[in-house]
Amino acid sequence: MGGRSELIANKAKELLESGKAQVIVGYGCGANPAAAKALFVREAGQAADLIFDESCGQNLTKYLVNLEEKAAIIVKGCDSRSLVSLIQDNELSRDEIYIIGIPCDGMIDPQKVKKQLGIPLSEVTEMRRDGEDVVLIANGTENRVKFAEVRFDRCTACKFPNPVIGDELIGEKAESSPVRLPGLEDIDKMTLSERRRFWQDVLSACIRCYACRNACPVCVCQDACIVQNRVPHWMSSKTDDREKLFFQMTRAMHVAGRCTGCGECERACPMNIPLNLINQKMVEIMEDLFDYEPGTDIEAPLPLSTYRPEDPEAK
Amino acid sequence: MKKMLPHFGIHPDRFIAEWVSASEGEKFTKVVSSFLGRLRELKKEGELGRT
Repeated sequence: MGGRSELIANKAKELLESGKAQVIVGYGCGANPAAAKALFVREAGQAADLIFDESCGQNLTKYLVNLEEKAAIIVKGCDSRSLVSLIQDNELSRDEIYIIGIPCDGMIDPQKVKKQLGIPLSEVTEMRRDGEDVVLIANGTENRVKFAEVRFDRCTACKFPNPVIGDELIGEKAESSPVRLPGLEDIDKMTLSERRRFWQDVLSACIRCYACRNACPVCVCQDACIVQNRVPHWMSSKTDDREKLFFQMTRAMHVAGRCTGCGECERACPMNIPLNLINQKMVEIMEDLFDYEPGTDIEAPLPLSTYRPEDPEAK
Repeated sequence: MKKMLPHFGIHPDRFIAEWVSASEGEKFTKVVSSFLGRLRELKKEGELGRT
């Protein structure tokens, strides 16, 4: 697995030297080995700082929207779908980006690691994958946890472990055996009032920081976001339960048909609210109603901004 | 929207989308009255709890 970082660094160096890209958007070492951070490499000499391992859960695609240089980006399967959504939305142009795709069988959820080990992540000094296990070294002791138990929930539900678009693929193709996102089944079994209570409980933690919106690759309204709009004043900035629910429902509707369920909102949430339970449900509804899977086909018209006489009517 | 509301615990009948032309006054009253009627039923059934 360590070989991938090297291959990426070599490729990045080559792209920068040949002028095919002015900036490489990839991953670098973060504050702790379980959470890599975004790294923008502009000099060929820095390319060796690029890494790729199981800590690269972040979706980097949104950075491209505001980058004016010619960029190359490192994407996983889920991220590649966000790219497709952005290209469909005319936020990005396919010709202007160089896509380095990396197959992946899941990324580590730092929150789960924290829970399993029972220590702050800042104490983790080393992390490596060993087959089905992940080895974490903290305070000089070696901790072994099952990879399947610490990867993101969304990774267990991943249908696209391999990038759907790309100019280059680094690494062996991965296989996945997706299950339905954990938690959705439970919500489906609840009655309406139980669901209301459930959302009230989980959303009560929301602090309206909008990290979910800012991190979301397809939330691209920027200055025109409904939460800041004062004329008309659709939504107040109060933090009561109704407004929080209203905000999340509105967000779900706004990204419907473009949201690929990448889980970036949930990853970015400082309060650990399971936001993907909202967005993944939306993805399921899109598939059910329009037979459409967001972020898989660059040429496909967006179902909610295209009219077809045979469009289904929700009953 | 109608499919998403129940996921949040809100009865789907609390939402309607209907096309009514400016010349269809009669249709408009029909749509609004039947919607109101349905909301009153839901209230009786206890489905209109505050979120």
